[in-house]
Amino acid sequence: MKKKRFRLFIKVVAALVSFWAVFFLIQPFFVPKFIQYEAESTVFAHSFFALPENSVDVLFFGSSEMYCAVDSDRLYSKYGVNAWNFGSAGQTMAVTPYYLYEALKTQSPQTVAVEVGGIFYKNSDLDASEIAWNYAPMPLTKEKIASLEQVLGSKTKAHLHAFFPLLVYHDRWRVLNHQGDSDAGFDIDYVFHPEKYDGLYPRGFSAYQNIHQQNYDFAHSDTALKEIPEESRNAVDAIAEACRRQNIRLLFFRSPAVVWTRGESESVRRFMEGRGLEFIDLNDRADELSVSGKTDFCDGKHVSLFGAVKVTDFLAKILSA
Amino acid sequence: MKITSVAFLGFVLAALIVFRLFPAGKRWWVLLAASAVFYLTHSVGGFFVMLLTALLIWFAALRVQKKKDGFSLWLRENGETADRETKKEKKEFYRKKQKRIVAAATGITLGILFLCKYYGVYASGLGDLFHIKLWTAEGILLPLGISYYSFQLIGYLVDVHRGVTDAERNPLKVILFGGFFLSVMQGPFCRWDALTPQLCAENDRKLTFDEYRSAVLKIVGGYIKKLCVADQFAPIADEVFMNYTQHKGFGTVLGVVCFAVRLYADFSGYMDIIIGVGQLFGVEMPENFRQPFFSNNMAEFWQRWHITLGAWLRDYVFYPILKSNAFKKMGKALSAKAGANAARTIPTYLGLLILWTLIGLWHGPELHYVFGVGILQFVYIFLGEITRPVFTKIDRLLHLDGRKLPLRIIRSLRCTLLMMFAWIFFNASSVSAALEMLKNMFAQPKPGQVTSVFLAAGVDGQMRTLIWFAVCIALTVAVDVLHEKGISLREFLSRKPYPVRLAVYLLLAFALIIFGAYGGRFSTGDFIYTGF
Repeated sequence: MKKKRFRLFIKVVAALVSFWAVFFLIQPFFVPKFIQYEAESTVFAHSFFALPENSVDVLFFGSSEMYCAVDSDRLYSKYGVNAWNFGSAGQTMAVTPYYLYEALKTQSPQTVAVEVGGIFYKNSDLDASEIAWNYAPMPLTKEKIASLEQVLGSKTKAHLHAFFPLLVYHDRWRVLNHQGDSDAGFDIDYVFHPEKYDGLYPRGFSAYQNIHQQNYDFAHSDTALKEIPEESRNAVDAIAEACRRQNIRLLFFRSPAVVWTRGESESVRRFMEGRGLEFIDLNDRADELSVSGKTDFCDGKHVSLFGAVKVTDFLAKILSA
Repeated sequence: MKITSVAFLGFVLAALIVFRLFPAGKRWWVLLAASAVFYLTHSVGGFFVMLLTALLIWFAALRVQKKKDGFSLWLRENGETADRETKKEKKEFYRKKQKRIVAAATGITLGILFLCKYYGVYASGLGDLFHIKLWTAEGILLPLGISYYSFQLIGYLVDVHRGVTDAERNPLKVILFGGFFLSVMQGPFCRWDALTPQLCAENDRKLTFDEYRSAVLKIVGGYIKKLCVADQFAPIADEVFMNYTQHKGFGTVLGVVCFAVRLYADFSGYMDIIIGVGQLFGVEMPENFRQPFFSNNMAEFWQRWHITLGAWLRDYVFYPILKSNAFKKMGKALSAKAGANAARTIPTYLGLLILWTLIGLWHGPELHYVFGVGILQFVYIFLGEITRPVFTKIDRLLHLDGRKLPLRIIRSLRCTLLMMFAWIFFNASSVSAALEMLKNMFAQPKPGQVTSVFLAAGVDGQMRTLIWFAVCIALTVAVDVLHEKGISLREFLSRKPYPVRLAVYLLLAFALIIFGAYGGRFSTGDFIYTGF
């Protein structure tokens, strides 16, 4: 009887060990790798964490509206500003503190610049793709779990995303290594080969090559004020606190965008002023930048390669001031 | 509490632990409490409606029993002295009283069912037709499983009347029978004499490790059918049926095939889960499916599909109709005017027509249900029966053997196609929508129509998904072939060495993890038959 029980015990242990071994063996294949144009979070994260420690002076955070607008390579080569874009597609203000915490583990920048395009989004607005873009490529840390918990509103879901992403992304068997049939920036490879992407996005800058003429008229846009969600307010405070602790200059800015209104701009300005934080809306300075609806946008939210040059040159002046 | 939720698994585990901790004779209390909790998580109001119905049936059954006992007592006291005619009169007197009670309780139960499920649809339909404002039962709730527990409880009452079983004195046991958490949602339809002795078993039968393993495998198999097959086919089927005007040719055909596979996997998957969970509690629930797509004809199909519904309606509706005075009179009249054959067949077919109309109505009050899984099924069976002699002659002339594989395959395919045709009406939003779908199905078939369905449904990886569909269908057929041959996969597996078993367990577990439709990107639907 004792022998039989022992054998049963061994069988159960063998089954559990085999299950978890297979689970963790196949899990990495299913975790999304974002290496496609316009959703390159995996390449950005990998490139950032491969940087030598304390090698960056200016760090940019934000969504695609930031990393398509700030040509950090141009900042370095033309203005000598050692900058890096550490953004991710769909990064809302609530997610940015987490990216900042991770970045500050290896870098000690003098300036942190945050694009505020995501400030009006609530955590509940984040869809599954955006959550994947922001979190899947990032290392497993306690900050990641805390941020996921805040965004997903559930400890269980946060732990599931962090520890067992296979259970979240299991359905990707449909698109794994499937060229041209992936949805919303999901990967086109089983595993991430960083060497394939070396130098493709210098310093995290991803240029949007397409130009789509826009009717850009910020001066006459809607003036209605908009409420900033509580999670974004808290995120701004968290970013400010982290920068204050390390004596980092903090700059909030808004890149040119057709969908951005004067009311939104004014709401952010009042909020930032109330907290004594520096905020520049480049839409207010559109004339100074010579932003043109004809050439400088690829859609209503994102600037084109030409728009990026104008934004970068303008920010270079601000940063060196 | 969804059957596919982690909460349900936790609920079953907790109930099982408590169940095993209780002494054998008291375990039905645990099942009663678990059933109450399960029902209350779905609907509090519905729970009280179910409770009311069960108490009504309990009371009616006791009254029926009292009348039966009254006659027995009278017979004991007067049996020797009373003449035959008096005995007959007395028997008829008590029978009539019983019948009145059964009719009243059944009428009230069916009245509640009608009010909750059917009245609103008919009232609004009539209101629209005659441009009048009728009360549409707005705000009246539809209790979970009302079509199931109502029929099951009526069956118990009729059984007491027929003397199949004695009336139960304890109302809680009748409530447990009606609201048992494994049968209340979508069946199977259980009989009192088969289920209650198991629920309220006095003896302590401990399950062996092999029995636990077998039950768990049955449950896992059910979840695979539901999550990996039914819910993976669902988005395509839903897209085609919901936006039927936008899809044509191959797209519509794909949707119809997907719905057929989904329906089978969904319903039989649920039954597998329920049967497996039942086995953990030492309760054998009746099988509701027996490889239906391998049927030779439509009559056989319905002996293999939703078996317990067909059996219930046969025993409690069809036979009573045939034995009713009206039908007997009709038989006699036909016998005199048209001969014995007509006297036998015409009432039978008329009874079948009533039966199938009721089956259609049971699914829902709308015409597409009544036609698709009601009248059309009668037409299939009727045509099958009247053409049987012709086909038998053809078989004999061409030396065709119905037991041989090629002919069986052809007949199975015939049944499958006929059912797919019927399910278009069943799942479409209306008869006109079904007709439109049928028209679209034959309109300019082009390969791109399949891609359009995938795009509209938001399903990525068309080729891989289609391959997965093919694998699912092939595996379903293979498993059904083995079952048809009487091979139990669970028993077969239990005889294999441990490493083989472990490999299969891992395969099943990872099939569920990878191909299962769960998580944020899916909105795993309820089981289709829960809606009835």
